[in-house]
Amino acid sequence: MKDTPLSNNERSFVQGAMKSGLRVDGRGVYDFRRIRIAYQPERGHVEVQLGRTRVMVQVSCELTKPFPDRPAEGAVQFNVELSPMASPAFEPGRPSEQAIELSRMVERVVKDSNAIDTTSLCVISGEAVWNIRVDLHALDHDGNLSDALCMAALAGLIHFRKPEVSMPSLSSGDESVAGNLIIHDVREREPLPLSVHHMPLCVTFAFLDDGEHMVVDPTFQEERVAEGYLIVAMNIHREVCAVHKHGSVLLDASQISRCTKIAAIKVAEMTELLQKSIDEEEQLRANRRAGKAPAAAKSNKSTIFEYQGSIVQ
Amino acid sequence: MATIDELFPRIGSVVLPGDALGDLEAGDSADPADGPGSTTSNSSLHAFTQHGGRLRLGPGLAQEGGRVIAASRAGVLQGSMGAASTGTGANAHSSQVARLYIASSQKRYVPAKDELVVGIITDRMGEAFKVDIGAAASASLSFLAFEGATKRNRPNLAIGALVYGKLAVANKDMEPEMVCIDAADKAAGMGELTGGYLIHISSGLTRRLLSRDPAVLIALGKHFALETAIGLNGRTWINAQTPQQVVLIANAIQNSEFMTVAQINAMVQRLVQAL
Repeated sequence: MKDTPLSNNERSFVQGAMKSGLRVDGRGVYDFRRIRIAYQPERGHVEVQLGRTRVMVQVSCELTKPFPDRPAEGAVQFNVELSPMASPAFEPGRPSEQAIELSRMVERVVKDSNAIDTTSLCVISGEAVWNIRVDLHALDHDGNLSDALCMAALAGLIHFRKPEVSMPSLSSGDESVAGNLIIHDVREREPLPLSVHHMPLCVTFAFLDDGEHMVVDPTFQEERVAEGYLIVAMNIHREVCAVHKHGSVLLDASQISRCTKIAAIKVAEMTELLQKSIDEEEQLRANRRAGKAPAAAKSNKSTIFEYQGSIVQ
Repeated sequence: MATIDELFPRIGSVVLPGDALGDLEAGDSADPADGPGSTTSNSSLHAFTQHGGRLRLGPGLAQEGGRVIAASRAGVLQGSMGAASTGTGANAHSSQVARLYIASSQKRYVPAKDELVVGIITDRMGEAFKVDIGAAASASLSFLAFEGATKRNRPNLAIGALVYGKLAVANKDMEPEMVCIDAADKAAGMGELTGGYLIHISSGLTRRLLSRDPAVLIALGKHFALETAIGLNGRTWINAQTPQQVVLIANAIQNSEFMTVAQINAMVQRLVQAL
C-alpha cells in the first residue's frame, strides 16, 4: 500500500515549527523521545521503544564452518525486517531499499566498529565458529528507526548468551572433531555472554534549509519534511564509529563537528541508560535464579526500563 | 418509548465477534414465566421495530439471517436513540432510530456512509478530486460538491490540501464518494481546512472526541480557543492561535487515549502551566 500522503498543512506546520525551534511533540530541538527498553524472558530478545517508534530484536546463534580466509573468526549477521505492521508504506516480501540501508547502517555501527569480538566466537580454528544472527524487526514506525535499531541490536547482543561447547575426548581418534562437538544445554552449563568491547550508539539529525535548522531524533513527520539527515554513531569514549549522510542537504565541516559534539552528549546519556538497564536486568535474573524473586510467576514477564531524561510530554 | 439500554442490555459492555446482541423476530411469544411487566430485551426490540422504530447498524455489527444482530468485531457495544430525519407530522413520535455500533480501536479506516472524514487531495481528475481518506481505496470528491460551486465557479484546491467532508457513497464494491455540502447545499462546516495541523489517532479516541463530553477538549477549551475537525477516519485537524498551543493540543489529545477524566484534567493543567 502506498504511504499516506503528507498534507500541505502538516508540511508547513512542521517546517514552520522546526524553523522556530518548536517541535510537534513538545520536545526541545536537541531532546530525544522517551526511551524504553524491555528485556524479554528469552536471552537476546529485547524490545526498544523510542517515543512511538518500536523495534524488536532477537539474537540467535549457530555453529558453522568459518570463511577460509578468516579461519579463526566468527560471523555476525544483521537482518532488518520492515513489516507492514510498522507502517503502511512498508511492503512485505523482499527487503526494501530502506531495509537494506538500515541493516547496513547497523552493521557498520556495531560490527565494523569491532564492538563484537569475532575471534572469541571461534570454537575450533578452521572447523567451527559461532555465527551470530541479529534479527531486527520494526514494529511501529514513528521516525528515527536507525537509532532505535542500533540500540536494540546492541542491547540484544549484550543480553544474549551463547551455549557452552566442549570437545569430546579425542582418544577415539576421530577424524572430524567439529562433528562431535558437544553443545551444552543452558540448564546443564551456564551459557556465556558475547564479548562486547564498546557500545556504539547512533544519533540522527534532521536538517531543514541547507542545515540552518536542525533537530535531533526526528519523528516520522519531521523525517518527511526534512531535506536530509546525518547519522553519527559514537561510543562513550567519544570515538566516532560511523557517519552516514542521507538526502540532498549540503553541510559544511563546522556543522558536522557541531553534530558530533551534540552526539557525544546524547550517546553518553544513552549509554548510561543502556548500561543501567542491563545491570538491573542481570541483577533481577540473578535474584530469580537464587530464588529471591518476589514471585515465581514474575519470571515469565519482561523487565522494562524507562528513561525519562530530557522529555517534555 | 424504549431506551437504547432496554433494547440492547449489553450496551456499554465488551462484545466479541459472533455474539448475538438482539433478535428482531423473537419476542411475541415472550415467556410468561417472566411474569407480567418483565419484558425481555428481544420482545422489546421486536415491539420497537413493529411500531416503526428503525435500527441503524454501525461498524462492527451485521444482521445475520435477516433477524439476528450479531457482532463482527471485538469491542464495546455503544448506541444512542434518536429521531429519524424523515419523521413528520402524526407519525413523528414513532419513527425513532436506534443507532448501534461497536467501539473498538484500530488504525485502519473502513468507510461508512454519512461519516465525516478528513481527506487529503491527491489528484484532480476530470470533474472531481481524488481524495485520500486513509481507507483501502481513495474517495472521489466532485467539483460541484462544494457550497456555491457551479460548472464555471470551480473550487480551487491544491494537491495536498485538507478537506473535511461527508461520505455520500460508501460500500465495499464502489469507490467512496465524498461531499462537502449537506442536504441543503450548505457547507455546514465542511470544505477546505486551511492552516492548522493534522494528527493521526485511533478510531476509539476519535469516537471519544465526538462524544457529548470529550474530557480532553473540554479541559483544553477552558484555557484557550481551539478549532477542530474530527474525522472518523482517524485524522483530526486542529488549529489554535499560536503554534505552541497547536502543539499542546496535539499532544494532549494523543496522550489522553488511555487516561481517566481526572488524569486528563491534570495532564492538561500541567501542559498549560509549562507553556
